[in-house]
Amino acid sequence: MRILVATTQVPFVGGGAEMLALKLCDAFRSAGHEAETVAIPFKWYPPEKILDHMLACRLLDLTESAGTRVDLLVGLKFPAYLIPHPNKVLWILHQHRAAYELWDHPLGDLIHAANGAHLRDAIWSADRQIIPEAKAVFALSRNVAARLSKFCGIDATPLYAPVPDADKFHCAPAEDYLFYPSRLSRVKRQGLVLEALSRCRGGVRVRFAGAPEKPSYAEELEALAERLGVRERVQWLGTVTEEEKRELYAGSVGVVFPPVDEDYGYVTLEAMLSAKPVITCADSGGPLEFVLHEENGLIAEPTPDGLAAALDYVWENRTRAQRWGEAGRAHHQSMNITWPEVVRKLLS
Amino acid sequence: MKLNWFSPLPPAQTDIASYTARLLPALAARAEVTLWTDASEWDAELEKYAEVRRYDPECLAWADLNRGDMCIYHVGNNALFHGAIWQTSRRHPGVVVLHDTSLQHLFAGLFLQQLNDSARYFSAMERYHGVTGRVEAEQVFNGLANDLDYLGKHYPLTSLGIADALGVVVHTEGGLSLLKRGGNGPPAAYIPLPFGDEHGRARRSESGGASETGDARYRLIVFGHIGSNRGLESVFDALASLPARNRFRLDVYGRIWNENYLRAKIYACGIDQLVTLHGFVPDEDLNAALAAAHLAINLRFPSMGEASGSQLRLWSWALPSLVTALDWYATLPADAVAFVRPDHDVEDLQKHLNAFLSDPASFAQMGERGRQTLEKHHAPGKYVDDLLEVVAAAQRFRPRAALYQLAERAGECMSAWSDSVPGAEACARAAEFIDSLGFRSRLTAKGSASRGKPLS
Repeated sequence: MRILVATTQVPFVGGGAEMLALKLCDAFRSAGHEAETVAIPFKWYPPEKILDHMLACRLLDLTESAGTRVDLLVGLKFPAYLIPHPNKVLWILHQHRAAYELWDHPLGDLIHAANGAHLRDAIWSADRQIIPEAKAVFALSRNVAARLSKFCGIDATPLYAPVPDADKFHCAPAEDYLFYPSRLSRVKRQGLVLEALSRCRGGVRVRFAGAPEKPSYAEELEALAERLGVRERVQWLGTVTEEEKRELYAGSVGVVFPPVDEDYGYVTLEAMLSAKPVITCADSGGPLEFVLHEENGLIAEPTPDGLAAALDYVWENRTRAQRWGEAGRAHHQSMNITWPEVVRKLLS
Repeated sequence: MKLNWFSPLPPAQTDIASYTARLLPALAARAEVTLWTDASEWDAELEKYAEVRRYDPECLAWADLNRGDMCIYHVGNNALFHGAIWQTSRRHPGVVVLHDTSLQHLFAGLFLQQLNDSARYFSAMERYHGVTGRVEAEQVFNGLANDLDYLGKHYPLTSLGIADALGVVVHTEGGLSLLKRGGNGPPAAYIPLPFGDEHGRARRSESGGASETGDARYRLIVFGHIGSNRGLESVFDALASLPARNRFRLDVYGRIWNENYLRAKIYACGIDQLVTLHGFVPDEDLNAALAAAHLAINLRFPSMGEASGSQLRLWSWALPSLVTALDWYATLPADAVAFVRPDHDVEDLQKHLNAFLSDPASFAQMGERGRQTLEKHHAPGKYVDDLLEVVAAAQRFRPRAALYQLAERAGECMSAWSDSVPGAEACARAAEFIDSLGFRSRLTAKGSASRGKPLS
């Protein structure tokens, strides 16, 4: 089959979703198909631009390429999943979150636009009408599927994505740091981690890896660390290579991952592959599908005190942390999250 | 249901402020209401029913509006009261309640006086009324022709008042028919202007209605904003040449557009002993005057097409009334008012005054039928029910409104590709194109209110 994987990309901003699209193509090829990605550039401001991009996607014709039929279109991200195709399967990584669960949320931006309600309703309407065009609808996680059901009344089957290069993750003796790999962003709540650090009993240290979504946010976080008196206990590593990231996982005591209502969260699975316990929060979304409290990590209340208690616990109970890490690795293996399984389900 | 309600509020001297105050108890019983005002003061009584918030149209907390289910904008023909409301309605569209269908005074006042933006005003005249509209407006404002009332009649700018609206409510059937209708516009409905009968009926029944004054004279009353279209000069002429004129006293309440001129006219007619100009008085005083009156004169010539809150107030006191046989007034039940033809006004006024003297009881029955009409068609609870239906339809229309704005942007973009395709045509074709993608057929089915038809 000739398969196109349609996704969305913010130019110069890369992350797990972009990697997932590439790996999915690789997996299709490994299964004997011809596959390519089509990435639609996306800009969500001023808010009217969101509809412009939706229309642009609807105007695209990906039924053929150079006179040869495209047999299957796999749509991943908003608004690329709106691209029409007679044989379309969706594996929805997320919808436009500011129109849904982040609408009236401190992290939401659309609600502050004069025409925000108009645009939200137009996005809802398009999603409700067009997503069901697909022959099958999968969601990256139970969390994403639940949102589709709650807001759009659409049933989607959760389908977990394998971690890229999963076999390269390993475990090494723990050094004196917790690891938090993610882009620096309000939705990832590095600020909450800093607040928690300031309330920890012991000398918990955290290494943050990842580029800032906006340069100003990195400066804001550094100023916050200074103000809270935890500057000496944090390290800002910026962008690291995949290999460096795996080493940082391997040498950590555990992994901190307390985002707001994460769609999925590769970080959780990467930590498990590295046999490290995961500290997440009760409102973190995707990680909660994998982290079992006091079995392979800790689920803390999303407050500085709640998270501080969890950080202290892992920091002070290294043997238990190691045992939870190993339990996490076993849990991951038991779930059969592999590319052949993903390909089988998408083509079924 | 959370409603954001943009309206003049008491003590603003406009009947639309009174309308909001009258409607609020019934509205608050069905919805959570926030009243928004750009005025610095308001009647604290309103806060029994709703939160009152001040706003600046240039600096609004949009999230607070977005958290509501719908904004209701009350648009009338006075820039002082409605300029900021209309400006907000353009940025955050909602349901527009049109209190006047001719909005020329609103936009002339807003653009030319408040915003000092004549280019925008003349551009709007051209967009909505063609080159002729622009040229006539330029002539008026250069002092070369006619006046603003003329422009209001021929170039009402109604469409600009409801531009981008998600729903439109008018208070007259004529208003609904004036709106250009088609298949793609927002829901629109005619809902009779509401008026509670909370005090009038009780007081009138307690007193048994007004009785003839001790010296066998009957009290006539005119009240409201006394502009040049209230026909007072004709009333004076009618009284002046009426043989039984001394059996009447005329009380005029409300702000008067040109008091010196009217006083001169009164003297010239020799009726200065019969007529009293009271000016603006507190509500309690006006109620007392209405309770004591025998016959009301409520003329509009020309009419701006609006429904008259004053007329409903007269009916709430079961007062018989003489009205102009024009626009909304001409649609009133013939047994609940007596009509005055615009081109035979003095003749008709005298005919009715003589008839009143001959048979005041039949006029009292006319007033009672007016009160019954009020109860039947203008109850606030029914008004709120109908309004909430329009709100629900407007909510369903909102996604489509966003798409038509998208069509405009697409049309503008496409018009740049070829100098042979005008922007408006490109916009229209883009809208059709969006419809052809399937949005329209899926959304139109629920896109109209129960009363009236969609606008184009």
